[in-house]
Amino acid sequence: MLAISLKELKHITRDIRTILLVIISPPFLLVIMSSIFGLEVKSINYGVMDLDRTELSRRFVQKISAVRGYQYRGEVGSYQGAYELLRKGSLDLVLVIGPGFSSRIERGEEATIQALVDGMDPIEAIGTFYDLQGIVKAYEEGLSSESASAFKPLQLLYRARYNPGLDSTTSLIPGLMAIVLTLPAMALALSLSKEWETGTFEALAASPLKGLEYLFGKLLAYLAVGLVSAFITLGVAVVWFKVPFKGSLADFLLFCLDFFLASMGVGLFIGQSVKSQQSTMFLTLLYFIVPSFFIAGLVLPLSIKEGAQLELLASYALCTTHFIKACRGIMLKGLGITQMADSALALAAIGLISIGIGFASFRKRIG
Amino acid sequence: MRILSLVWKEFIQLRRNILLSFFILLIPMFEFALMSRVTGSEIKDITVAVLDLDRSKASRELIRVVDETRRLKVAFYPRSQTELEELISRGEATIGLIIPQGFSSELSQIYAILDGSFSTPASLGLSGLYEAIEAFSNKKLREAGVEAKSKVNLETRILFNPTYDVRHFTLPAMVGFIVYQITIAIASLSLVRERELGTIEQLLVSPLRREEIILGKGLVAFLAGFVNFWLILLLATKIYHVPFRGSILLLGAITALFLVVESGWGLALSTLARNPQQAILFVFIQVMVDVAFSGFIVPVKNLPAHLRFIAFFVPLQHYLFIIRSIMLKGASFFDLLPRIGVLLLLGAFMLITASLNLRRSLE
Repeated sequence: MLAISLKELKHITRDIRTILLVIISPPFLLVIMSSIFGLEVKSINYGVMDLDRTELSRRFVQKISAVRGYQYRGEVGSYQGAYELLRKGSLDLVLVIGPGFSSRIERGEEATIQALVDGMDPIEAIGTFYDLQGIVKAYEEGLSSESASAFKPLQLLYRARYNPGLDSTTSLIPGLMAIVLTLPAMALALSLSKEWETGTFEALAASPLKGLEYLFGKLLAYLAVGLVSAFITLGVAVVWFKVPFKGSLADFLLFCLDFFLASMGVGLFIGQSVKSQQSTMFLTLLYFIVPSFFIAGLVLPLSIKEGAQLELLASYALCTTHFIKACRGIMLKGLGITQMADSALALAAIGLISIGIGFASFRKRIG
Repeated sequence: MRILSLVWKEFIQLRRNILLSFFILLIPMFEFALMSRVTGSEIKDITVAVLDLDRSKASRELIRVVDETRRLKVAFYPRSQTELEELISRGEATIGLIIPQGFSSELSQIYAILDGSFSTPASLGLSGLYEAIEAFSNKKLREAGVEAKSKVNLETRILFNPTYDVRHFTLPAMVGFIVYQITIAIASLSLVRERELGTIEQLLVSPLRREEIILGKGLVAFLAGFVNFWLILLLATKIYHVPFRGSILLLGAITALFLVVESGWGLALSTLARNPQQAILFVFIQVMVDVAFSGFIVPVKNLPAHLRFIAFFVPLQHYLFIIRSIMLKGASFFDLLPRIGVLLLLGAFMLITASLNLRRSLE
């Protein structure tokens, strides 16, 4: 059996492109994804239609330009022009300060500022809306020297454990690691269905035991490749992106083994039950990649979403759901495998069931 | 005409592999439905554990306000700070709120501990807490008879998506993403698969010219993408009620252009790979990189300059901008002219590289 996994290892290493793809692409993808998330800087392009043109209205515009991410893109002449620029996407926000703005304020009446916001991206639009409310509040406070009230407002002091800056990259990277590390399992599934497609498995039919050994050897070879890739990926996360690693390497290794057992079990099952490589590709995409981004709890846990019980149930069958949780737990919280026994057991269950079915049906087909 | 018979051959093969044709039609629909269900749903029930050391009327009132806040739910009442920290470490509570002794007499400070390991729910929960505190303070102010008078009234008009519906923003991009994925996957497998099965030689000795083989293969990928485009667009507008404000002809034409570019690119990937396994891994990597730069996850304008420069060369990025603008804003041909121009240039470049590469690899 060892001989077979050595043979398979040789087989992948002979083809330098495949080994590069399987080992290097998880860390490579992690770098790409994390840079995209980590380097995001808010940028709101805004224009102003100032029909008041007074000291007070200019002061308001200045207040905005001081906010981080807000870039002034010039005057806008008319509502028509504002609408055009927003539609083309050249501007995200146009502020309209009507005539008589300053005189109303000086008379102590309520003055109005109109904000036209491009709502195409609703998340950004809501952010802009809150920013503007803050700016207006600060502007109002600047107008009056007397304090609003003698009432002392309630103060909230908070501390974020594990990630003091509430930095989203720190929290996302362990999750992304779990997703990119499904790649070795996908490669295994593809290589199995390739053997079916080209008929090399039938050649093994002479002895069913040998066939099983062959399958097992293949699994071990991909497991080895996966582990190498996992540690390179971890290195990238810790050294390049400076994500803290509070847990122990032994726990990480154990969880990786558990995860590869599960993901490769499913890969084996897919590659084993679907004969063509194209179908395998679509199935692995369907199981490993697409749901991992949406329902595996990468950005938000499903449990806090309205009416997502069905998805929550489905997410337990994904290896990535449990491994995302485990990577976060080990790296950021310093938890061990015993404190996350539920995730470890879930992965083991997925792995044993899928490998069991995979082996059984392999035996049936070959024997 | 000879090309058509090559295309016909592909469809006969597809019919024989029922499972595969099922996947090509089913998976896009599944992805789309999943995406729309998950993005559409409201966020609620971010769990809060409260340690009330004051046990007064005021502290109970604050807890009630927190619990009534949209998104927040007070789920645990730990008895000590250790117990509270334990709940956070196990991930059961996202926020731990501590109301100190003497809160009712001073009303000055409260403390919160957040689970920073999962930053998005923690940040959302934090803004929920601020909301609760504001509501609590306003209530206290009203009770004390103090009324705050506003001087500047902010009147906000949200154009193009007045209901803030996240689906309207995500689903058009999802349409683009899915047809892109199908097209590039089919194109990239086409040639390398014939080579592995040894059938490429049969094609080469047939009266078909090299260009015709390439064109025929590209056409199959193009058609798979184009058919899926109309199906999913129908799903988006009729079932999920995403508005369609622009010209359907314009979007159809630009989609066709985009799919030509992507099938050309897929064919080029097909020549880089030595076997289908590699081709598929290439596609996975290509798709993930494209998605990262497409504005699907992070808006392109929010990226630093060097990443924006890379994103310029990603056709998917321009296409997603176009499909969103046409569907939600009713953008016209002239509004989109710069983007269409870039798409044309990238397309010409990719097709030339792809066909040079392909000719060489077929010799």
